[in-house]
Amino acid sequence: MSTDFGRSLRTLRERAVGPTKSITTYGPEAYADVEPVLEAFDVEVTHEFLPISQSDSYLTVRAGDRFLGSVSTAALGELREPAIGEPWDHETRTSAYRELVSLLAGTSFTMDDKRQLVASTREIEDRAWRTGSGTLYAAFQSLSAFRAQVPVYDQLAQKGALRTVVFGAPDWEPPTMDDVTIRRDERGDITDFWVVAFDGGGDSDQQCALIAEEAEQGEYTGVLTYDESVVVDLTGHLSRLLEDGGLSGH
Amino acid sequence: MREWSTEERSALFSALSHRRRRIVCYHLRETGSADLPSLVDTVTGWLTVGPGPDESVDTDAVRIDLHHVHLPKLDESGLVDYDYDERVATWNAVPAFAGDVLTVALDADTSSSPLDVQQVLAVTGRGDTTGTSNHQPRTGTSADPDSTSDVGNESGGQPGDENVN
Repeated sequence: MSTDFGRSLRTLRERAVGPTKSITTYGPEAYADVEPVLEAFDVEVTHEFLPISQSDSYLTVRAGDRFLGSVSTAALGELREPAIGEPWDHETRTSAYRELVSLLAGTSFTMDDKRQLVASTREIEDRAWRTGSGTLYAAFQSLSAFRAQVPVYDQLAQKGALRTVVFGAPDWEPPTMDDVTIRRDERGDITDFWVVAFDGGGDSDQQCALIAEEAEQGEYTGVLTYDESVVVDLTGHLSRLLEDGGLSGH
Repeated sequence: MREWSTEERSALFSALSHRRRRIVCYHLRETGSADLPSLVDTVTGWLTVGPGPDESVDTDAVRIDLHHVHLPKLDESGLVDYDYDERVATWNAVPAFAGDVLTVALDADTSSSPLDVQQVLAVTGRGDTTGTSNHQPRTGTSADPDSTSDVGNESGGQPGDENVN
């Protein structure tokens, strides 16, 4: 894909990537279950032995000399199989995986597991849900890929003044939902990308986005960001794409 | 290994009466030595999401706390050498009874049960000064309950104090 829109998204993705972060895992042994999850991210991982049980294991995330946070790896099973519940579900909101994704904002990832991508997306959707206003943009490549998300987005749309825009190649006809605008991507502007962006609803602290591209079949390269300028530019692009006559309305 | 005096044992109990200092010890006992940032990460992570009750802590506060209070205190006790300028801590060879106390404390810190003073007394031979260590750390039966308060005062480690920051 070499559309202008694709180039813009790649530029934004590159802008969103920050310095490499490092992760230290603590526990009886390097936990095989978490390795595939951490390997998806461009991070340096080291292990420190501690004489504690596997279920008490934890990890810390650092950017240079700045401590960012820690995550219980008691939920490592969950990291391997990320919870993909609804974004307002409390357990999902506090899940170790979501915390990890949040701590690894600005870190490039390559995911070949769509479940992990969906779970990562929940961080964005949850912020939109909690804020309850503004616009949430979601592009899941094709509308058929959006099919499984319909109940989630139907609920999101019913939250306060939150407006939702969904882009996708027209290979499926979604039901009509209040406050959800479906934009059929007839031109293929965004079919290689998995993008979810929330404009913050007027609160810049809530702005966030995930930009991923299916660079190879089934393999997504992307980044999650809270960078205000990146999110503003991205939601600007998406807003223009929405208005663009090249995409036909539903 | 030389014998430790009652005063030294008392200092050791006092050093181990604080959860953050014990976590530092568990870490250093495994790694041999560590710099301050890595100890801060270990302790902050443990307190926030690791074994035992979770605390909300600020990493800067933990660093200041370790550097100015806890590591000097561990240095004083003889368990650890802390190079204050280089900010590097090194685990010292410690008497067997200190290792046993640490093991019992670790059991308590990694379970939901509070630190069991009876067990600590059992492994330390109730603070006797002969320097011989009791190698039956988990029986918990040889301690005289009447002596709890004595050693408890000496150690500064009453069960109720054990998670005080």
